[in-house]
Amino acid sequence: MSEAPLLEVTGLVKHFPVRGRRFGGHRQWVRAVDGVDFAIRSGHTFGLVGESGCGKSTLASLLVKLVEPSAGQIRFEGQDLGGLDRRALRDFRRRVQLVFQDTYGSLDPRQGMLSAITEPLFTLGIAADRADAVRRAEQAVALVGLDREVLKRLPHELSGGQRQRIAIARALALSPRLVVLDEPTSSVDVSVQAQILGLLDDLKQRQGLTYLLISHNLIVVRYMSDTVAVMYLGKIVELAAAAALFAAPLHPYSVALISAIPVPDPEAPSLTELARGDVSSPVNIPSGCRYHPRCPYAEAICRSEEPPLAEHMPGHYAACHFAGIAADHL
Amino acid sequence: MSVPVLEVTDLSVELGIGGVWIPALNKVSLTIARGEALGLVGESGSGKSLTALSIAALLPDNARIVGGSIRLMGDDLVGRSEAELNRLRARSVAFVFQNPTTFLNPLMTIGRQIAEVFELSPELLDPADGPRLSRRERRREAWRRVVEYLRLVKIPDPERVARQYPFELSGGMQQRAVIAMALIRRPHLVIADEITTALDVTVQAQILALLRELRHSIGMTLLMITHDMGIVAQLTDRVAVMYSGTVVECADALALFRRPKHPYSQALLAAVPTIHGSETVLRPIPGTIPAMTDPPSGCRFHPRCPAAMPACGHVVPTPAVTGPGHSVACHLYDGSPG
Amino acid sequence: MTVRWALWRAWRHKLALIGASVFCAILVAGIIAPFAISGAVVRDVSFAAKLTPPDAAHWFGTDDYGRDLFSMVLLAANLDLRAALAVVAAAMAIGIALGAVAGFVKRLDEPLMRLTDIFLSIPSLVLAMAIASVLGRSIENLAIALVFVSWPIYCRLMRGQVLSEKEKPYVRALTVLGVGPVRTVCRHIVPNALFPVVARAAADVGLVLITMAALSYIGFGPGPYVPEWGSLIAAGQAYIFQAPWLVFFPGAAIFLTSLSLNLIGDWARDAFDPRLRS
Repeated sequence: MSEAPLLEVTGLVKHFPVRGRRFGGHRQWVRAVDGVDFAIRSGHTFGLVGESGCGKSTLASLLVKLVEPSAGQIRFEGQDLGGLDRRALRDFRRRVQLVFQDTYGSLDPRQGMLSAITEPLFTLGIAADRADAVRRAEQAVALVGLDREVLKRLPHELSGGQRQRIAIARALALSPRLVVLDEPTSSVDVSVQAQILGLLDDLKQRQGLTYLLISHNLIVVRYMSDTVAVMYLGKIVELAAAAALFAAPLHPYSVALISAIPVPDPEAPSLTELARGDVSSPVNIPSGCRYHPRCPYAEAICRSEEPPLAEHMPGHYAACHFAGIAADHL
Repeated sequence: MSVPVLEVTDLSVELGIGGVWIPALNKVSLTIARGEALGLVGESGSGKSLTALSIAALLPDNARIVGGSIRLMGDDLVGRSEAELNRLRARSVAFVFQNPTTFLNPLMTIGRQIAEVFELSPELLDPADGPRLSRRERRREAWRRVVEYLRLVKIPDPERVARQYPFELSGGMQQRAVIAMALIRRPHLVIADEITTALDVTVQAQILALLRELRHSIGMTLLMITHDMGIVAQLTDRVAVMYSGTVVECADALALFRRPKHPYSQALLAAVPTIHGSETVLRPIPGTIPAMTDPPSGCRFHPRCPAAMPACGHVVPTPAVTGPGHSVACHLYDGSPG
Repeated sequence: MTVRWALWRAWRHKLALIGASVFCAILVAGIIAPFAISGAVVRDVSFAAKLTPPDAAHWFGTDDYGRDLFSMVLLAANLDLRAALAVVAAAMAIGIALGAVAGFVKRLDEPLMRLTDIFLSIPSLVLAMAIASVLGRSIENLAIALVFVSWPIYCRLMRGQVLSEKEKPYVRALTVLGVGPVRTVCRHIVPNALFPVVARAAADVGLVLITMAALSYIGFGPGPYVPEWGSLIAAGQAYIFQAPWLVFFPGAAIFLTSLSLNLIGDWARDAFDPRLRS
């Protein structure tokens, strides 16, 4: 508890302008990330869950400095990430890496796997020479359970599972401290998913990594994470330890997400869909509590006043005027 | 005993890849009775989509049926001409694809697209007994039915939505519209191929609930193709598990989940993480799915099977009946010596 | 249904092979022509032998000056192929360079696109004629004129490719991995963007050939003492009823070259594209 968090995010905001103007109207904004605060402790897995439009991918981009925030602050290892010079940025890239969701698209289709892994080793000044780079690449590939032979291949010659492992190997070859995993198992089969998750868990122990896991799949998040944050339309609506969140979710959206998952057991009670309608667009964010149009418990106050993310139980935060109201539905 | 809606027997399909014909489906058999929902489960390369496309006579040019029969309401589809297939297909089978946005014509309103089926088969609008309708009466009747079916799939304000274009609807609404389009022909069989994979999980829950209700209200017969065991458990009566082009196990849903017999079914269920219980244990299946071009000899699962016997590498197991409505293609159950 | 598909595939391969062999034959002929045949044949005027039909001595017959048409067609092969390839190579180089600039440097994108718009809206033959008439009649000037006409397409194509490659996930992945923008552009984006442009250029060689022949035909090509397929056709046009071979053989040469290149191009497009995509 006394140790400073590895990553600390305060009031993070990212708005994108909508291209093209409406006739006579003012410019519209996509409020992708609309005020987010959280911290990740070293050695932990922080899970971020949400559906489309919730801002989790944008948040991942912000944390690896692919885009710059519109407002707010990110501190990594105590250092503010705003305005880093080239040297500091290089250092940062060595310590924070991202494993992309699109396993095929995130690899240059004309680049062999050896080159794909060794290139960053050179550009970030990690490898001393070519022999060193090749050695590191071979180690990384072995670490993810692949044969050295795979280094000679091109992306289209590999299976989805192999590409996912290469993406992980590429990130790990840099010996980062924090790895952002963006939907690491969404594009692979169930059996491969189990392998990848097992691998990630194993690597975390062995290499002393910290993970930020982003997924729309609650089960995967639950399986891997220590702490979980649920995002909706750019804000965190619930934040708690994984076990606490799934045992007793406080926010109706969390309850809806959890109960929406079809349970692989024919005798389990049938799905109760508690969220109405479709996910709203991050261009037109509803007034008051942004979840109110879909919430079966919405009252007048929900339409007018946005609830703050408050600590309703120790370590368990929720942004809801009636936190806990939906819990009996589980 | 009524004729089963679908009866596939020993269907074998080959794919042309790189100039060579490769077996993709190997003696696939399934049966769906009227009003039943069968789940076809498998991972990539299992052949589940190819099976569905064969049934709907939508095979691509580089695929050919080399054996078996597909009986839809008793009529065998194999070996028919293009024209006959079109006729049979239009009346009997509706296919719902994964991505509604690519399926819908962006330049036509929803109502117009759904009503298009009546332009092709105007006789569907005529009453069972009585005189043929005039053109104007047909248009009115078509519109009435479009609205009726949009309402059936729980689209709010169906008259307004029927006049909208696809881009004005969200993904969930589009998928509902596509389902309405499938149902309006009153097909004997609806094939749904991963129809919720592209949707958010809360929207998926709504669509699944809708499908359940449709089964009750209009007695829809459904072939549900998915990789998600949860969907199978929640929606289907019976399940067929496919692996690398064959059906390895076919049983009632409850029987499959409680007492899976085939080692692959067991492994698949163990690899699916569940959310209940304090401890989630994931057991991965070692190895990888075999490439279609270079399959293992004998039983295709044997290199990854914890219960593999010598015979498994040589002889392809044929499905054996192990209980009422339960068949397994595995040497452990067909009485062959180890 | 599937029999059709299998046949189609074999057919495509066979056609490509035929195309490749025909083109190779023409290429070889064009290469050895200046060595095997003396350039003097062009001035080998002999009124006695004029307008003779194809026979043992003159395989393609003779023209109105008594010159051997076969030699002229072969010499023209050399000239035409070199010119067409040079035009395409130059236009491609210019187009790729400017297209890459337009794709990467936003400020220059607009002006460059307007420039290509201007060039593209002038009918290509008119533009080529204007330039050729200013520069003078020679095969080199004809080639230069055609470069002016051809580069805008490659520029547009390259720019489009660069813009779409820039958005791809692997470019973002490279940024996160610390690969700098210059390296990303040179080593990753440009090579990936190049392929469709090069494929298009290769397919265009036939088109350039035809355009060159057309311009020669209407009088903008080199004079009667420089053998060029188009001007051979132009010269032979007056005698089309008496001596049809004068038009037939050079015409056939253009036709076969263009067709064989198209067949090769078709096959190449199919062979390379899906592999990269899947």
